[in-house]
Amino acid sequence: MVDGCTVNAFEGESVAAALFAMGRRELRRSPRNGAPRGMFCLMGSCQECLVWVGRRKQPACQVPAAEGLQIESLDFREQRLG
Amino acid sequence: MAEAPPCPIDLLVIGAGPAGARAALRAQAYGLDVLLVDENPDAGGQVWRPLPPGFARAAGIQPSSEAVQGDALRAKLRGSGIRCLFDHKVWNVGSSLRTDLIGPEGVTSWQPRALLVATGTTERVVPFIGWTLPGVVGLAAATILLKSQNMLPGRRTVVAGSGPLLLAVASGILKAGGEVAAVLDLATRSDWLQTLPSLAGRPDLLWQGVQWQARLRKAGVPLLYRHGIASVDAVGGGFRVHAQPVDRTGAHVARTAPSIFEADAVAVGHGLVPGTDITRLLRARHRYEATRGGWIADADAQGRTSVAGLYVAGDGAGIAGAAAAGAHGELAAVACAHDLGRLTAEAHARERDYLLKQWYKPARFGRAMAGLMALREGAVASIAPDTVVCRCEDVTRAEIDAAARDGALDMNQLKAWTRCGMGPCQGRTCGDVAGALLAAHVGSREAVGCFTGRAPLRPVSLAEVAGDYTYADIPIPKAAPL
Amino acid sequence: MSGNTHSSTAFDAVVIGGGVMGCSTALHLAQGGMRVALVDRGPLCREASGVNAGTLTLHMTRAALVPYAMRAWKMWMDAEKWLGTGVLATHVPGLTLAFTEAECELVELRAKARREYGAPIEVISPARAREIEPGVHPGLMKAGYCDIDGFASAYLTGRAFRHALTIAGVEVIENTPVAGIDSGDAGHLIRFDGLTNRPPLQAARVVLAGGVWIENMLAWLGVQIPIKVLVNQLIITERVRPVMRTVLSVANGLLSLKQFANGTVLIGGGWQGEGDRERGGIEARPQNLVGNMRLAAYALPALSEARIARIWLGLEAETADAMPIIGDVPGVPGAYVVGSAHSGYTSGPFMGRIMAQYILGQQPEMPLFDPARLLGMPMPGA
Repeated sequence: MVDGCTVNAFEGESVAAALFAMGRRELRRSPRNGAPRGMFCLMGSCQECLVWVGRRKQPACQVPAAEGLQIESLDFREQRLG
Repeated sequence: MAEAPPCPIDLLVIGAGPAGARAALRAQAYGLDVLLVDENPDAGGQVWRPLPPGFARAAGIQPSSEAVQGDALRAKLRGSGIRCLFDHKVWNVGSSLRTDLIGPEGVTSWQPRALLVATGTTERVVPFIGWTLPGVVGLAAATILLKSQNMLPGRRTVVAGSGPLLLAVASGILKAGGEVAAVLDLATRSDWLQTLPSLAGRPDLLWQGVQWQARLRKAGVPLLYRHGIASVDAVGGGFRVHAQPVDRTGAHVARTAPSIFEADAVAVGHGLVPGTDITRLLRARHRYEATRGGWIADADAQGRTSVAGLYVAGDGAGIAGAAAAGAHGELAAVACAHDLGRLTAEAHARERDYLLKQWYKPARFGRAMAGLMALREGAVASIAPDTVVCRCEDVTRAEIDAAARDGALDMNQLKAWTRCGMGPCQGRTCGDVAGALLAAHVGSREAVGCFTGRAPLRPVSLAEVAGDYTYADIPIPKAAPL
Repeated sequence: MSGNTHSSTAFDAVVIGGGVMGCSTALHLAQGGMRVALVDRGPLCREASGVNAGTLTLHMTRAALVPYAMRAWKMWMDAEKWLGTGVLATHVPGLTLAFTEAECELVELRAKARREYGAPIEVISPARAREIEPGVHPGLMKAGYCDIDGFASAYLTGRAFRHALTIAGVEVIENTPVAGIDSGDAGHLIRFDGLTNRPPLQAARVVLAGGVWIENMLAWLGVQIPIKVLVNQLIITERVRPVMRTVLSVANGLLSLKQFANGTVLIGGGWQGEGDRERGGIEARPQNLVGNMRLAAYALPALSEARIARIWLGLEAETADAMPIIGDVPGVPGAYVVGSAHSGYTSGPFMGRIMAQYILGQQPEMPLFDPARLLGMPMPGA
């Protein structure tokens, strides 16, 4: 479940890859310019593909897809929390 | 961490790629009590990444030699009984080499007598207008998509940059059924030919290179030598990529008009940068060697650094390629076993000499590739002023230049004045290029130095470190004076 | 203005130590008409002055220093006027929190002590505190409230001062370690480390503004005054959504919290790490990191999800009686010392101003802190 929508993925593939596969490239906005950002290094270094997995913020490329996983993009969660 | 004292062990190996895994196996063979740690779900590092558990290789598909080597290494590790902590990040290392890990079940601390850092490299991308757009990914990232997620970066990809990953990615995309709009290489054909001597004795690699080239030719993919990316514009649902002729240094040759390619993905990479987070955190001495990837810990041939008990091995110690990394890891294990008193001087000398011979030829090839991947000064000089250099903090080249003009003399001062390097990636993505930009003003890479290494090595949340507690659990020192 | 920078020219004053106190002293001396050089072995404001938490609070300032801190607070808020560039000084109220009975007593005591020195601190109920800062822990029992509070971005200080000092005509000499001072009837000769290849500076007056290294600097002049070194740990988070709008502290003095405009939250409180004067800050102590983070996440529960971006250390100076050392160097004519004010960054610009006033022969706006009192005073716990 990503931002309230169901996403199908292979078990064990990274959430970043799963999103990439379904065409979702943009995950957040840059801090000063508000420019669109998404996956970049895919190896857990650049911190661009950050998402919320439950109550933990993690790079999506290091989160293995699993049944029932709740993922929220940064903006989505910020809007939800008000 | 505050509650339980750290668990003692002989050797803690950080990084289960070719160097770290082979080091662990050899150290165990010498009777050392070893712990192998990696933030990935399994061993293999970047170069020998396993397929995720839910993937099965389709029947009849030949696994690549890398897949074979990776699977063999993983099997050997499993069979060895070495304690492995996968999905664990190292977030802090103390001067005593105490290592703090964060894993799925929380924090643990270990006190090794020796620490081997085999954390490999990260990819360098010299910034250009549009490099931060979603859909622009690294060459290594594209490799990960292709190899371990069975996925294309897009329907039609521009592949650009320098180094051996270029052709590997372009060929991989074609093999997986995608289109390659163009391959843009900063190097020339003759730069590649000059690496041929280092391939002596590796006809398999030569053949692989030939195959990649043939596949590209057959598909009619334009391969433009001495070209880089001037800019990428988001257009419709895809990209317009402006390919720019460059000179030997990577600098844009202004007079010729750029060629334009339409694509919906860009895979770009300008070499690999050794990971020095941990060695910088421990204040080991470092030196700058462009042809080994940039800043590396100052270490001997076996990976002993200037800090007692701290060893480095693999590409993270200076790029020499995956094939050399394993021997290098074993060399470090030999040094460590000797230094911990488990190996006599004679046995040490014997094993070391044997391994050095094993290491030499693959390292020669790896270093030739590293030469192709080295940072080109002209490419840095050609970065447009408005280009974001520090992605985490949106710091542009113009802001970096302004700080230099105002008198910033080293990387830490640059960081304080511009916030470049203050974001969550801790300067891993921008540090090398920012260093080159500042060095152009100040005079040399050595003069400007590196960002000071700081914990946490990867971002960790307060909740993860604090754990469960009540107010009474907080260890309160003496209160402040009135 | 600077002329030939490599000749042994005479200055009216040479300030050694380019932290906020040294920079402020040098700036005010130059504005008072003196020919000034400012020397630092590194870049300006790269030690305590550049790495502290930037808290501009009265809650955690020593009671007797409140009048100084209040004047300095105004200077920081008006930095554009006298410094040219600001340090993003932001005015928000400050709350000091009590979660236990003992802390409630401390809140009352500390508020009373500071009110006596002019700080507008009132003790308020948890309900009122939550109106001001909704995110505070529900177990809050009492709070001290002060409208005069806020924070600055310490790391901007060096660049701001460098600019102002250059415009004021101060000769700024960075990355040049001083080896010693030869003092006599003709004034002082400031000698540099042989490696720098720089001839000595001649000065009618010398001002020691070296923070924790004041002890070493006084030794150059043959004066023994111990300066204690505190190795403070600081933690900054990534940018997070707005979770607080005041500066928070805890009554036991062990927490400072603020959220900058860019969303990052800085966690301080004086928890000690490993380090010393010779090597600087080396590393954090794990149990002190945990303690500091637990206190922060307790006081402001929304913080527990925040990711830490960086942990660093800064050295803070403290004298034997925990009060500043500002005035004449005992027994050495034409030599002055300015430093070691608890919350030195908070009051730094003002301390520099009164030091300069004294040296210029003017009546300082507030009394100085005679260094001679520290001669022979034992360091507690030594």
